[in-house]
Amino acid sequence: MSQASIEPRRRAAVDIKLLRLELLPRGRTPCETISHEWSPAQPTENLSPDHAAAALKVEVWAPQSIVRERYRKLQMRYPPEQFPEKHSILRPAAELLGDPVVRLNWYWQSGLIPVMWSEQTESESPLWNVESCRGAVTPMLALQSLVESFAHQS
Amino acid sequence: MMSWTSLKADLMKHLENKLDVWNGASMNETRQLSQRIAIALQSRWQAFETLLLSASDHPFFPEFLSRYKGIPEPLPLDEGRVQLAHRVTEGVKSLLDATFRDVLSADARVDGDSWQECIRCAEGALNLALYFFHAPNERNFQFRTVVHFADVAPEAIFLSGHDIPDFFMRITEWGVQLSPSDSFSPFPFRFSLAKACGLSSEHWQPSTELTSVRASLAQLRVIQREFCQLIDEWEHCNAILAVRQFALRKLPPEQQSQAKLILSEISRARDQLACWCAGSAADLQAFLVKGFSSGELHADVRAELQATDALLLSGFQKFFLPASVSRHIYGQEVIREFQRFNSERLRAESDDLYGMISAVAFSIALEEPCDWQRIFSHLAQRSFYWSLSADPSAAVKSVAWSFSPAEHQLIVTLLTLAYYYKREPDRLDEYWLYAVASVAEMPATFARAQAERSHYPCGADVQMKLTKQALECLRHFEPETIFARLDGVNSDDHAEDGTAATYRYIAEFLRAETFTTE
Repeated sequence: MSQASIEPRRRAAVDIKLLRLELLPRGRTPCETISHEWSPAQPTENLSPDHAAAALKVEVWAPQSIVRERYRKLQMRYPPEQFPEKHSILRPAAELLGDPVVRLNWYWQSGLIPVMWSEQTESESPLWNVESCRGAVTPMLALQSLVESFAHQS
Repeated sequence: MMSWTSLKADLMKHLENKLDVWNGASMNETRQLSQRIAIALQSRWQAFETLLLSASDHPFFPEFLSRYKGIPEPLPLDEGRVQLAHRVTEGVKSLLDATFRDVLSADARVDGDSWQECIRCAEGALNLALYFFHAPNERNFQFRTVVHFADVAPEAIFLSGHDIPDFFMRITEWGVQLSPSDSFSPFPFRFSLAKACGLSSEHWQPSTELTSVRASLAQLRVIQREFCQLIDEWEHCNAILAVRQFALRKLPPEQQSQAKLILSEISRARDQLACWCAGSAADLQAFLVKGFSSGELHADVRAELQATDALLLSGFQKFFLPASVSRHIYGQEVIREFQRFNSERLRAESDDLYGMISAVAFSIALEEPCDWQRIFSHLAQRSFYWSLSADPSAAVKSVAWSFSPAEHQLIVTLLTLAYYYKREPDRLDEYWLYAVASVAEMPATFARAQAERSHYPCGADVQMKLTKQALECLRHFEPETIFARLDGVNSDDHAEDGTAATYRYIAEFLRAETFTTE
């Protein structure tokens, strides 16, 4: 599963490391969109989207509403005050997957390129499923989109 | 006299109409031509891709690939590789030849302009496709890998056929270049990445209809992924250029004049690469802005949209690095793309001080009028009325060479104020002091004299007032205050030395007389 959701970045970029300076420093910043979570420090250590998804039993790329709904159900089934150890994994997992910024940020910081996939059918997950997810752009697809973009231009 | 004027006006109007019709027709024609070129390329792509992938049949290739890092290596002379180079060159030639033959057979007559348009379009489409080409499950095996392995020479090749006009072609590691003459720019033309992502704003419906929500989500994730790939490509190519530049520095002095020539060529390649990357990001941003402005969206789509927006903003900062860190001076066309991205952002977030400060910096570099007043009025309001979405210092530093002393001083002042007001009621920490100092010292570090301008961005009294405010924001770094704070604590004075010196430097800079009062 963890193999499927990532694609390593190009070897040269990792190896040569020239001009690969980190964006913004660790620590608190006054900026709102790119804030401390875009710093090189891992936001949720030892918790990858794959682990988070396994803990919640949802897909890594499940839409926000589905993750939140799932967490709400788990909270009702396992009240936090009775199962604190369970919630020490569930809550960060819900935070990581329930916020697209945080999830995307995990990949961004890890130097990995996300592969957005789904194995669910349309009836199981109407918003994001095996038919709706689009794979990587190939040269053929790129040329196809180019043809369409010229057709739509007016 | 009267009739003559009206006649002239009539005539002008008539001519304008004519021109519009003609332009419209030619636009339409160009579009159709471009479309036909893309279709023709597409129909032959599979065969061409097979040809490129056939490089892996060579016995040396797997070993070469495992070591390959984007930089050509001297390989032993080998018949197989020479043949591969020949096959690749012939493959590109026949691909182009067949494409043009397809397109031009419909209307045999092309004049000079539309032919130029035609080869530019073919170049753009072909290179966009090559950008996405890599071997299955092996991103290190790209077009560049084939070119370097086969050692294809970047020489102009003259192509002439009986039914198509003549043109020149060149195969480089960056792609294939076409030109009516035998001179080429260092980097090939490529269509914007946004054109390849299959984006359509039809899905930005404020409806909660499932099909449109589903399509929007899928579309946004394509953008996220492709933008991550774009940043990867940008870092990869920049690293390749940096390695090449570094190698030139080590040349003996007698070859330095030649090295200078190659260096400027590398700089131009970097500019054109940055132009394509930043332009693509601006196109993607424009698409996102359409989404933001399309009213009420599904909650999931909105969340994905905001994440994509943040990703683009964060990734875009990487394009400033060659200038803000390595003091590369970007050309006007690159800064124009920066400005385009920035104004797209400002359209969606009109109260964003990051956008406003960057806009002013880019406008100065482009010698356009700047909107200082907008920043002043936002800073005068309470800080929750405006946002600071990112740290503008990288954007500001990348064009710092263009500021006049007064403009520079004012920008540093405004930066300090923006940081401070967003940190209130906390004080700025040392990191931000150093951020301000690095902007203050930036123009002097470029290999270019600071610009001189006779007009000032604002009145001397406004500047005085702002300077006073900014100094007040940094007051807690003042050595006396620091010692007062540390009084009674067993501290080592050395630790505070750097901060005190940096504070003094900034205070001196802010107090300096850049306004000559008459």
